[in-house]
Amino acid sequence: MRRFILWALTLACICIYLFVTAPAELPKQHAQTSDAHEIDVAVMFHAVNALNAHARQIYTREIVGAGKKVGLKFGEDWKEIGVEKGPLPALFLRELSFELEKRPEPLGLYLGSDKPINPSNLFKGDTAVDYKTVVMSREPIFSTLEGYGSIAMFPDFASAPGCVSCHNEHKDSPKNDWELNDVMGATTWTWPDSTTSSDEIRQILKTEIEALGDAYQNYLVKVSNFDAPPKIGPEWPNSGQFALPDKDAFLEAVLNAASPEILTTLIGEK
Amino acid sequence: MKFRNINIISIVAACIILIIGLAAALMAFNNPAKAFNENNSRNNTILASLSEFHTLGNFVDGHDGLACRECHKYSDGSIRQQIQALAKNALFDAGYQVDFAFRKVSSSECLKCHERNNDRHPIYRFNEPRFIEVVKILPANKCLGCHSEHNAKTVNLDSLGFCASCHSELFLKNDPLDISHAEIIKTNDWNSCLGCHDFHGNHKFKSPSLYDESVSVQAIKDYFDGGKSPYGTSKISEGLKK
Ligand code: HEC
Repeated sequence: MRRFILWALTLACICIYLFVTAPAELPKQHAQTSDAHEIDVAVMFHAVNALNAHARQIYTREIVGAGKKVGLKFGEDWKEIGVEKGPLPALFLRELSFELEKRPEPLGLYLGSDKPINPSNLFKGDTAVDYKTVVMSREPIFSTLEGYGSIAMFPDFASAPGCVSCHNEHKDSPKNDWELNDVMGATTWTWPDSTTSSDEIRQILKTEIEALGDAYQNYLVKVSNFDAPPKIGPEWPNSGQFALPDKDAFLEAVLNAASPEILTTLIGEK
Repeated sequence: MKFRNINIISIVAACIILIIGLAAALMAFNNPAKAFNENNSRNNTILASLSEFHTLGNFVDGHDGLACRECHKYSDGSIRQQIQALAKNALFDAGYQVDFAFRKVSSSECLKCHERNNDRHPIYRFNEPRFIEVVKILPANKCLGCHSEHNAKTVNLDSLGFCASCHSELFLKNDPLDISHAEIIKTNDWNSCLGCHDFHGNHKFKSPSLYDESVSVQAIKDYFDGGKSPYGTSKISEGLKK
């Protein structure tokens, strides 16, 4: 009996040491924001996708499309040393995923299709089934998957004439009759939780804007090493000059275009 | 209360006290006032100074000279907070994500030196849900899926044929190789891929256009086992801290 009391006392001391006098609890992961997590994560997905979709359209139309007309080149091999090219739209998106991945927020972004130029972008298995639904409905679908959390698949529309012409003319394209506004593929987003908060959405959008700026900056860094680099500043290629907008000008254009859609998403009209 | 129950309680209590005591002594010996602070750069603990006695084996090429703490970071919080969280996890399934004393080594530690913006197979791409089946065969969504430390090996994979998991649909309208890629795929010659393609693309290596000039399967296996790189020693980018 005496031994029992002794051990009960020891255990009580340990409990007091660990729980009663212990320092504050450790924060749990993804609970960095103080407000309640009661917003469906689909709202966050709509907002981040709107920003990316507008960036993609502006990049394709104003940087690639207009840039080619003033002598800029774009290709799959843009990162190779000695190659004086910029990223194709799909590789610009991959640059954004790379910049997102570097940041602590666990937001994942990917691009795929069922008629890909690059066969490693082919949707397979369950994702191929989901993709068919997205093509038919032209609407995003949301799901959850163990180990991945929440997943959103958004249609990737042929939003600029360049999407259609470049894919139709590409030597490795398995489909040559794309038309404007076709669903050419899908952007897939992943996030670990199924609910979110307004603070978290604001933080994620901020992160995405920063990542987008850095993705574009990676292109500008490459350009500045060209033998004859274009002028980087407020001017866009559609002015007819051999010029590229700087990071601020690019981001401003994207934000101007994307803001109305993000706003309607956030106030719940979508 | 039965004698047997007392025994279990005493063992559990003694173990807890022992673990707390040992961890505290080993980690904070030189700096008791700042015991377990979050500054992971401290390297003057007893553990570090005795590293020769407890490292698990040889370093991989290029990692010798790294301090333990470059990869083995202290877990968040104090030892008490960690035990508190782990106990709550065990009792109430509380969902804290914390390790005891040291964090599990994760890809982010590797990427601090090895992240490159032109990696041909960056790990994050394998986090895409459509690769769910692929990562079961080739766990390339984590650095430690294929690489490890303290065993002097460069790559811990037994087979070279993993390219089949993603590239079996490959078709090239303008094939640069003398034997077509379609032929290679048709004959399931997946061991040959790495003979021309450097997986991460970090070596200055030009793919040959003749199949017979590709790197032999044996040379690649030797490289996996810690031998010299068949893609040459000159690199496009080195680990940052080198
Ligand atoms: C200048 C040429 C060009 C333009 C413009 C272009 N693409 Fe692509 N696109 C490509 C290439 C090349 C790839 C393959 C990239 C890779 O290696 O992953 C690709 C990849 C894709 C993919 C992934 C599947 C696949 O085909 O590999 C989708 C989806 C896609 N593009 C849609 C679009 C949309 C939508 C636009 C317009 C907003 C667009 N593309 C503009 C050349 C282009």
